[in-house]
Amino acid sequence: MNLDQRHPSSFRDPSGFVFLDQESGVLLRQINTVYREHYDAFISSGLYQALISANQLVAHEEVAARKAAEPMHAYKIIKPKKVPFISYPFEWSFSQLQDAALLVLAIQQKALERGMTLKDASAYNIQFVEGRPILIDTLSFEKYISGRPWIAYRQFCQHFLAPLALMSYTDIRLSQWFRVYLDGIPLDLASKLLPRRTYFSLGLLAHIHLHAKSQHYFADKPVNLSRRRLSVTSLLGLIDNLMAIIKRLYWDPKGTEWGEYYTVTNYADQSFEHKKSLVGEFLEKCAAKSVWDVGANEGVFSRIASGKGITVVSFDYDPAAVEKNYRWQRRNREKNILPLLIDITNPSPSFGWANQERDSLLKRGPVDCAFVLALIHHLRISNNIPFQYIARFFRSIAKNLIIEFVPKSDSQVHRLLATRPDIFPDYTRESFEFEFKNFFTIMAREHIAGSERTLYLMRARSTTGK
Amino acid sequence: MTRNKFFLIAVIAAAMLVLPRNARAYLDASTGSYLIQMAIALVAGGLFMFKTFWHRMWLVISRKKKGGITKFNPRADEPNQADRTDERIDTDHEHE
Repeated sequence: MNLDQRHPSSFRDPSGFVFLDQESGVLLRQINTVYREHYDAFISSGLYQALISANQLVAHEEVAARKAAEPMHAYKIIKPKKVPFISYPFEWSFSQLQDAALLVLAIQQKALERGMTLKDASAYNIQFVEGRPILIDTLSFEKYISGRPWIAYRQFCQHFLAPLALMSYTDIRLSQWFRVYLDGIPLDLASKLLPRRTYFSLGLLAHIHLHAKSQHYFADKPVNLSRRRLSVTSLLGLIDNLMAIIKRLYWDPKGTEWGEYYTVTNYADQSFEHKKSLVGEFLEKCAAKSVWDVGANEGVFSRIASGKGITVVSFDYDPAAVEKNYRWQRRNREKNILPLLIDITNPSPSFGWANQERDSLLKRGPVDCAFVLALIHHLRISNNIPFQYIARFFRSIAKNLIIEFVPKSDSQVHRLLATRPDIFPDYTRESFEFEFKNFFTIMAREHIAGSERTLYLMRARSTTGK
Repeated sequence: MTRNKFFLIAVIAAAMLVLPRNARAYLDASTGSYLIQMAIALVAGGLFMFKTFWHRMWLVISRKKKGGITKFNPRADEPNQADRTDERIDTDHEHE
């Protein structure tokens, strides 16, 4: 069997796989004949239509079978609607993961009502499209066999309940364990890290602590599972119970480094407004269709782009800022902005099998335009990254750059240098321009009124000086 | 099913969990997950039935009292993130 055409992440499920159609350059999904019975039931039960109507599943159209990548096994070929940007669970804020969890449970409820069930509950199967989580794996369903428990229960607890409980009760940063554990956070680890008071929460006691102990206890004990049956009502009760527990989990985005940035930073109104209008002007000039706002905080500048109909991914490394950004997006039902938790000094790497299963941030680019606003001093001074490296990196992720230079005379840079020796003699506007010109052409340069800062529009050079 | 029956099943499930039978089937890391799920689902299923029953009763009572249907929220007494922050995403998007 030649598996070369498959997407590197699409090999676990024998039901089918995703592949790139060489002719059209679009992603297609092959449904294998072994899955025929389940796919037909999925469609004929009305579940597909119900999920599409509710915007809970990615829509698809069936295409010609001749497109099959592995014709020997092909039953049908479908073309799913394109997802503009793939994100991963450790890049989501608390509420994003919570909304994704509730979506999975809502889908499982609908599936059970129609004689189907979710056979997996991977958080990687959920993506944010037009501001809402949706399921992107059409082959996640199978016919429900009477009496069977939910096969994806353990995975649901590892991918959703455990990380949410840890983020809520222990530390918001523990979502980053997802980077280490591809199949969600092991329940014994979650149980160890959760505070003792969670033993008094019946839901967490049962689904995490007792669950972990049960896994450990039965790990080496033979048990005949075939005779144990569970009714649909019990399964619906389980889903209802998990929903209530997930909804009760809560995290308040306060007290982190950047959570209160705009309330504690004394930006002059005039400068702030001028900067906003310049960003809008530069965006028009570069005619970008997609933007990555790197260091977006709560996404004030991201919304200048999204307001123009541009698709924006709004990064920040502070969980509180991303949480606030997401709540803002959700409250206003904004469709073209995606807040994500990404530290641009340590962007998401490629990981999983052969380091190819999940793409690094760089592989998910390049983008038409990157915003690098009020960030250069943090990169150069706080992180000691040379200008040349910074310019080269942004050249690799963006075709255009809207970048703000913050000089040493600025109060924010004063703050950074207050507690460390100034070992940055090259931190000047001239040096900044010199290094960036090796990778970009400066298209526009404007002084931000009422400040000592300068805003640049740069276009990536096809050949670089270094 | 009466509540007594439900509790009986819950107790039996718990006993099954503690006293596993001998085996012919496979072993894997999910065995513990499988069994704890059965125990939790039996209890949760009973509560769910009671909640559904109460929901129906509420509808009947509301109809009789007001001559119309009043929407019953079975989770009205539970703390909810949506109450404390801003509106939660509606996981069923069809009513937009």
